[in-house]
Amino acid sequence: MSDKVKVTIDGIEVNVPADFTVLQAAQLAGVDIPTLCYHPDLRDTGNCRVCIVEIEGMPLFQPSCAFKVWGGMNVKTNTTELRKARKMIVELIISRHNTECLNCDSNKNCELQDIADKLNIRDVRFEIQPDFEHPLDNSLIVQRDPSKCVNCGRCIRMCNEVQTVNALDWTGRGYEKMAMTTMEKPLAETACISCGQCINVCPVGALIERDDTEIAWSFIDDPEIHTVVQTAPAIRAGIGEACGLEEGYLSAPKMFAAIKKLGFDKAMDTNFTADLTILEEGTEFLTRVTNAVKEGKTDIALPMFTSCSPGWINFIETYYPDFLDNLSTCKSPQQMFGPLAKTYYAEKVGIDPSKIRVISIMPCTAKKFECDRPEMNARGYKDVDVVLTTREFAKMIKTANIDFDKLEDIKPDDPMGISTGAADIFANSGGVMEAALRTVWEIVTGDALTLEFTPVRGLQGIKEADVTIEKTAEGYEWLKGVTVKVAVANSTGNARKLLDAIKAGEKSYHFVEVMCCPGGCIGGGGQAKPTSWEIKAKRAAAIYKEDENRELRKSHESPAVAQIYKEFLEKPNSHKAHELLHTHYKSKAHLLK
Amino acid sequence: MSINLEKIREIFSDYCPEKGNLMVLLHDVQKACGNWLPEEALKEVSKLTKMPLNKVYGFVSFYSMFSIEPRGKHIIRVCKDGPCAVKDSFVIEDMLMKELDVDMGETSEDNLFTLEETACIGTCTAAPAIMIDDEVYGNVAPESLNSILKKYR
Repeated sequence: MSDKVKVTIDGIEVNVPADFTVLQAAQLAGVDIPTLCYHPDLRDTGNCRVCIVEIEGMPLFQPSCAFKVWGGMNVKTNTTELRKARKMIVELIISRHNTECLNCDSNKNCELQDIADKLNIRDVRFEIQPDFEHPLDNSLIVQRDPSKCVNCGRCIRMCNEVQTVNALDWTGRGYEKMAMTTMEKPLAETACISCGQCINVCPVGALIERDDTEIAWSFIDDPEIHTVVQTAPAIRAGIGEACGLEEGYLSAPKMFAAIKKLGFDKAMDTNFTADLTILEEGTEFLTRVTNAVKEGKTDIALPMFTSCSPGWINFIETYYPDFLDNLSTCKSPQQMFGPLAKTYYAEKVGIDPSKIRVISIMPCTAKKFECDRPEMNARGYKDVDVVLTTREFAKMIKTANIDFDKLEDIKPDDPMGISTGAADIFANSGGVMEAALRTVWEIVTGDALTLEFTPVRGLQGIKEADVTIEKTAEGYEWLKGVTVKVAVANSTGNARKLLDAIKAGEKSYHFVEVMCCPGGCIGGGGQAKPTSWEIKAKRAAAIYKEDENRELRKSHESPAVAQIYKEFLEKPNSHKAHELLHTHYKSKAHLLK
Repeated sequence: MSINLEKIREIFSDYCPEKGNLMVLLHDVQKACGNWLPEEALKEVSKLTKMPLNKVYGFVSFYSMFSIEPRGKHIIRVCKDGPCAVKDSFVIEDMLMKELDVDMGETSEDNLFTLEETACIGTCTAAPAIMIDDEVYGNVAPESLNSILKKYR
């Protein structure tokens, strides 16, 4: 709506679009209203009442986050009556909250603490009676502590409306109303995909990821163990922020330095296997297209879906098992790195693979689930030994008294630390697609010039692009004139829309990239809290900047990738590559039955 | 206890498939399942209505007339609101608990009765009141309880 209306907030006049909420108008006027259940990325529900305001002409206080403005509206946000009411509301919320803050995962990063501090709450007039009836659910990667839940409903909106996973919902009524799983089952028995988006939006510490930092410390402390760390592309644009620096702080060299300073032996990079993924997945894609277009085979599963995002794998295995053949058989870059560290790297440096531990630092909670899958065991050892989220990595840095900003820049270790800009952009929605196109395009057309495929960039939920192949390289003449259709989806809610359209025959593509989290890995469930689209846009911009500043920006140009094929893997999709770098999928539809 | 899914599908076919019918549909399903809603029944309703299971469960958990625990053949509801309390509804409650050998919310061993509390059922002039299934009994005197229960035994 382009119509603007005049609103007065605490005496400040602002012109705002007519469909704005009072809260949005206040933000524009520079008036800060405390909020709890409100989240900029989620639907406004107004169920906590912390953001109440006084509106002239209204008999009762109204929740500003869910109340629309009108022309000439006069709003007050700071009156004695309002302060009293707001204080009572927050005291009531606290009375149902487990106030053991010192040993809470969210201590000092808690929106309820902030509000209590802001409202100067010194005395809670009600008996503190948290819900201890429902025990901590630590059955899965995402862990729920009902005693800390403040009934804001953000997790429910995220799980049901954004991700369409439907693991949590409101149950009960009145005092007993709470966010709960169906039949109060443990999350492991629900359709939860471990994406961790609920953790990202939880204002308190009621939802957290399984803490694996002690395992990582134990590897560091063991002199017999050789530790190899890999860092996901999204970490370089996330760890600075998690350490308290500005949003979108870009810091690959300091990230490697922090790993070394913590005492890990090698700081390598998942970027290396991201480049490798492009070669493996690109080759797989070309094979599928050759079989379908050139050979005219009808049993080839197209579109091919990317398989880098473990939350997406959990989602498709649970909700769309009919599409499992469409998934690329490539393991995710994290799971390619593991077996290569315990074979290729182990042989190179002459270390017994049983003494090597691979530690992943990921923006993701579902990566913990992926790493624990029994099939992720290529050579008799767990491919990846432990996965830490960005937040856990930041916690270790904090515990070790490291001042992240002051670390000296260092380079990652050889040989699995070298990478290209194509690997960096794996962090952003559309990045895997763009990286694949950079390589596949050059193979198919022989044209080395095209670098940036902007239609697949951006934070929109679903992006589509088609490219018609005019010029072909030798051996690919049969592709002349063929229009390649691609699509990119981020968040499983958008993936669902895309899959339903493909299922109904409304859409057809050759190649589809899906990232489970809104915005891609930069918005991953393991990234710094709090988060929002505004913050994600800064992280995404940092990632594109990192790519731009690279000398090498195409995966097939990586000397490390060329070397590993020459010395170890022979060629993309070779027998050995299949053994180590590819996997298979199983239906999890029973979780819905 | 095995749930007759065919029966649930039959009930569903009596209603036009729109959200607003969930309440009546679930009441019928609950009746068909013997006064409660087993998980299998909720799953079948979720499948038929194309509503996610957690939505159906959340809905069921909101209303006290639905139960996800097995209940007896007849449900006795004792009014706990003001007027009935003034007229000693707790005496009736105690007697029922003793007679059926159950606590509030529990089912008698013969699976005949489940004893529950209810909010006002609108018969304050005849307090204390109880309800057995759809039948309301007013001016319940301790000595009349046995003859009321007899009808259901």
